[in-house]
Amino acid sequence: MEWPHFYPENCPPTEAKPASGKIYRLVRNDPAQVEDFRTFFEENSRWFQNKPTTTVCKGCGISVYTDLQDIKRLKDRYKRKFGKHKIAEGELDAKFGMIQNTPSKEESHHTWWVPIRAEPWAVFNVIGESKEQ
Amino acid sequence: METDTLNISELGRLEIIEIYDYYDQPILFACKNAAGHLHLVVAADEDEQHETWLYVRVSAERLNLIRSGTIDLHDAFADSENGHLLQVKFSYNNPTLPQIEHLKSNQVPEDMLPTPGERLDLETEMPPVLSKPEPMSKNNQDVLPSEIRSTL
Repeated sequence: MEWPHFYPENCPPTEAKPASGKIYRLVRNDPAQVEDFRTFFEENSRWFQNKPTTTVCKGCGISVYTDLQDIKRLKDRYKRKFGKHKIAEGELDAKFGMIQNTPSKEESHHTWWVPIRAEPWAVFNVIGESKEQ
Repeated sequence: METDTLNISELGRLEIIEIYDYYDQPILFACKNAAGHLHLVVAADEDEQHETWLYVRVSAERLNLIRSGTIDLHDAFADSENGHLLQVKFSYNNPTLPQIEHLKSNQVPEDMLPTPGERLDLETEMPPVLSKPEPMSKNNQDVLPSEIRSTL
């Protein structure tokens, strides 16, 4: 599997597993676009100068949840920041990279490392508001 | 030694000491500056041009109450110990020069604050860096600029 050039050594970590199953992510666009899957590292690489490798590696991944209720709680908790975002659902398999459970405030938070040439936006669909309720 | 640090001109070099919520990046965390002052920080807003954060100074004792859930995340910011907080607004075009504004805690728009009732529930011990609380000045006025101190 080929990873972006900016990943540090040993990233994804050995604890990560091949991606699989249904996951959820907040996106700005419907349908989801490539920019909805940009990593914090790509957007703010200067922030990572002199940071520990583990921090850089986590920043090279993107946040997803495996539990729909957890991502709804996140969206509700920070209304101004995430209020305009939509919840998108995607079904992953191993060609979409590696994933690791990295609990945050909610247990089902995962970090997902996406390999070069994978196109996650093609397999994510914004879920309807009725399902969001 | 490599550490997670931030640089906010009014607060100095801040070391992230504990992350409570993460989405692509830390969005709720505690940090400490060189003087030993603790701040709780939350991602409050974002649009196409800016990202806005709220920084509230906390004593170690209060941070412990926030960590345990005794004080909810909304009140941690809306009812701060010194009645004030910092709004730090980063432009994506010039992230090294954020706009910093001192606000009264009770004047922050509700939707910029975590939803009332949302709490941490940490049963773990305080990180070592928090276990030796730095004394807080009586009104925490030492962190405020003179123009705000004079209004208190």
